Amino acid sequence: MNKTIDELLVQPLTSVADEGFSRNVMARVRKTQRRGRLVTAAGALTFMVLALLVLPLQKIGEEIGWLVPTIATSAAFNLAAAIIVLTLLLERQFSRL
Amino acid sequence: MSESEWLAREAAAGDAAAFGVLVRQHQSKLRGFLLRMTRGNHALADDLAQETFLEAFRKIDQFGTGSFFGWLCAIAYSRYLMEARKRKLESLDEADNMPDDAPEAETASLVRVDLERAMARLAPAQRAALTLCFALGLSHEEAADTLKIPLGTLKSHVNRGRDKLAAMLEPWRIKAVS
Repeated sequence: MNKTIDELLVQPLTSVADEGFSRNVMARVRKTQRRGRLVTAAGALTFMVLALLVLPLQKIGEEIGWLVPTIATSAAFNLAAAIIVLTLLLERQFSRL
Repeated sequence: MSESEWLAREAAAGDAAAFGVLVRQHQSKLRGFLLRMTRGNHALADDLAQETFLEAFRKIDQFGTGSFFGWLCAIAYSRYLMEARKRKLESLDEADNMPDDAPEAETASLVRVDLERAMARLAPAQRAALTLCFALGLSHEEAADTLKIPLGTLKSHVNRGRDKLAAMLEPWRIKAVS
């Protein structure tokens, strides 16, 4: 009897026609995707607005305004920048060979 | 890497079209599985299948390797159990009632109807185990993973389910032989 039962059980399940099922699922998937992107964008925007409100922008601007001339007149900084530029130029020359 | 694994990886990278291919490939078998689990309730089976695919899409990055269909069935089975508890569709304990009417057996399609009727009287875990291991061709290990039960428990569900089916279909066999 178990052999007969096994023969019955191994029969494949009744095939179910798609009839728009996959299309409906994908419509819901795309909707979920859009909602996810919207939530991410809204989160990023909120964070940016909060950051603009909270950060002491004027103080940061003043700091940068003070730092730029100091860096520009620094011998060590200029030497380092020159070494980096020369290294890049040499690397480019060697890569052409 | 199997085609399903490759498509799942593409879907995890955000390619919804790749997931669409997976849906089309597996929808019939998954809906068939859920149709048997819900004892022929087409509307509920389709609702559960939709929710299963949506959950699969949300968790697609959690799918590693192996049988994608088995992974889908695991989600579907867990959704089915939640729904069954919520709706009190059926007792999740074993169904002990045997059919009191002898099944009629004249053609192959009637045999199938009888099988489905008998299946509907099994406990959900036995129904799922038999369907996964026989009709859907999963190995015992894959079916145990899918149902999240130990291998020994799965084998016990298969054996007890098969014995119950044999007892329920015995009147049909006697009638068919005579």
